Amino acid sequence: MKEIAIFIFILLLVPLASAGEWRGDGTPLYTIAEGRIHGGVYVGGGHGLTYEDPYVEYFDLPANIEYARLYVPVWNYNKGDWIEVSINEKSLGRSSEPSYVSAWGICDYVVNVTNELSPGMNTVSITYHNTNGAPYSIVLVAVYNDTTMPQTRFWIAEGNHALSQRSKIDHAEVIFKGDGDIPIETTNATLWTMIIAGNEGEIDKLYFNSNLLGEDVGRRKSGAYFDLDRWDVTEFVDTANNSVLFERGDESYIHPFNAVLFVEYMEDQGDDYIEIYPMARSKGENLPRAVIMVLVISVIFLVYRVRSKK
Amino acid sequence: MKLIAILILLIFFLPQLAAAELEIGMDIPLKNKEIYQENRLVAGVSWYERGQVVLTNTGDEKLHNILVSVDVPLQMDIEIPVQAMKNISADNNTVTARVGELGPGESISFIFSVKPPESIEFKKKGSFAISTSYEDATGIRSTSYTHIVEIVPPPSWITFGTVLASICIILLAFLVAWKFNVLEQFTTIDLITIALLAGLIGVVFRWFWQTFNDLLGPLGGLLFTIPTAVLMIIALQIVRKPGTATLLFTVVELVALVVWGSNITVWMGWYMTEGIIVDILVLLFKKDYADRRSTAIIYAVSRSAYAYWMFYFFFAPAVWKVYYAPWYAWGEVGIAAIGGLIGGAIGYDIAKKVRGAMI
Repeated sequence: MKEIAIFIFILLLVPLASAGEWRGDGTPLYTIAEGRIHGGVYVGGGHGLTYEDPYVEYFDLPANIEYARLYVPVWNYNKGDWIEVSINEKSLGRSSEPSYVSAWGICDYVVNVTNELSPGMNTVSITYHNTNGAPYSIVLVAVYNDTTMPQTRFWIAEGNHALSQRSKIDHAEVIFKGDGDIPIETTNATLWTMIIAGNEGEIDKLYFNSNLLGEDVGRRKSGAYFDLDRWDVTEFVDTANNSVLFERGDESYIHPFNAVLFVEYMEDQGDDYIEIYPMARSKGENLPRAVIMVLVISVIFLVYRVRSKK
Repeated sequence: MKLIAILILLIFFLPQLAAAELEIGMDIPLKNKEIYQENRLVAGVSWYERGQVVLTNTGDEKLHNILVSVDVPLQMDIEIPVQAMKNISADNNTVTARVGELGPGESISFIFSVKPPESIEFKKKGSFAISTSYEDATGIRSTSYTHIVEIVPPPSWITFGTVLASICIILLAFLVAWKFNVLEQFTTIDLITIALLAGLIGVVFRWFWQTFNDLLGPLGGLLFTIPTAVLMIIALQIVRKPGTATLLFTVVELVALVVWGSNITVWMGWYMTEGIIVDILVLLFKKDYADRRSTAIIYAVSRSAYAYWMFYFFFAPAVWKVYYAPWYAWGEVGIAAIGGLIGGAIGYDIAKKVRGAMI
């Protein structure tokens, strides 16, 4: 009985040791750009973890792109890995440092591609060096100008937040702050979300202004470990702040990567503008406390056993 | 006589040469073939699998007004992703694509996505019937191609069956432990030793492997299989009790569950079998607790190969609905066996020294 009690005690030490950082819980979603524009916001991409190399995705774009960000989530980042993005066969060079990294190396390479895109069909191709990993998807968010269209208010949020059972992070929320310029009546409000590493049957939840949009949203429906969803949130949109809440629920791991909201006005609410914020820095990799604790305890035990023999 | 033979040969090959002007090929699922099994789709999954049809003009003149139709089998759902080729549509289980012209030696491809319905109950073959019509200098011509795939049913019942089997293994292990007073034979020091060695495997070397596995490229798995084998041999030599390996790998998974949040609760029984196999071998070798280099290597190779076999041939298809290419999966099992061989050999020497220092 005494032996089993000590055995259980040793096991209980391990979760205490695990309370620290490991590769990091990542970067919570934050607004990287917002603005008002006569035009719209294009969001598209695909198509799941397939280990294809090159990994190719196509985007049929409108003219007059004012601001565009390309997202390449990749599994299993390690030092020395790189990706090379080519748009319409023009290489943008190699990126070796991902913009955001978390958990077991789930990372996101984010590239500003505003000046690289053409109206019509664009081919984006990724080649990569990552021995045991590959891209999950290629996703493009592009703000375009079209003076014939109504004015649209938009927010683009990005990050890579590891909601995990291990770190006990159960929610991720991003608030799109308005300056009261959203009128009570709007014609269309659309939300796009991108989630990585969701699993079918492990029920997560997505809320917009506390309204439940969906359950088991992260279920690999847009490709392996990849979910890109479009939601009509017209009836829920608020005139000031609007919040998007990702709830982990039963998922062991789930990574919200993007939330993009755009609201189409019935009447202009001021001049067009695009405000771009600085990128948040991804936290570096740390040696997990659990690893240090187990090593220290093991060494102490080894010394004890050797000394007790003498 | 020789001329007649050449003439017959020419006559024999002529129809084939003529028919080969528009060559049709198909890849499905559109994934890395070095890793994933070709021509196998899983019914009832939440995502669409992409397929690609490739048309190649192998003749020496330009082809015009190419019309391609793909009859998709088994009433699969169809989606057409955004792609370079625009004139492509899906209607009533048929994908139709139009290509204006295709020069000699040129290729063109288009993709479509399919999702086999959940209602498929048994493994069955399905045929993508691809037919084309096109114009060349001689007039309107046609060619066709059939691409056969295997559709495996949603593995729900297999999954439930394996969960049940997992629970049975746990119950059986408890029953054996209770019947033969296995746990009572372990001393306090034994249990602390097992807990710490399990911590080293499940926390330290698991982290080390996850962090640095790319350094060895495709041999990255060795960073886990070798230390695991070494620590297992140390556990066997120091503790020297029946059930040591089973207890060790059970605790490894419990630690991984708590520290890394691995979602393996219902599969615990199967993970325990990594240790059960070693313990059975120990009994078969008349309680040889890796006391000889040969037995240490046999135990380590068996455990490593079995663990990887379980991953690629059991967990991947039954739980994650992923089918790896057989040669890739067997290659990984082979690398794991090599890791076991190295780990077993090194582990024997280290375990002897550790045992000498401690006991």
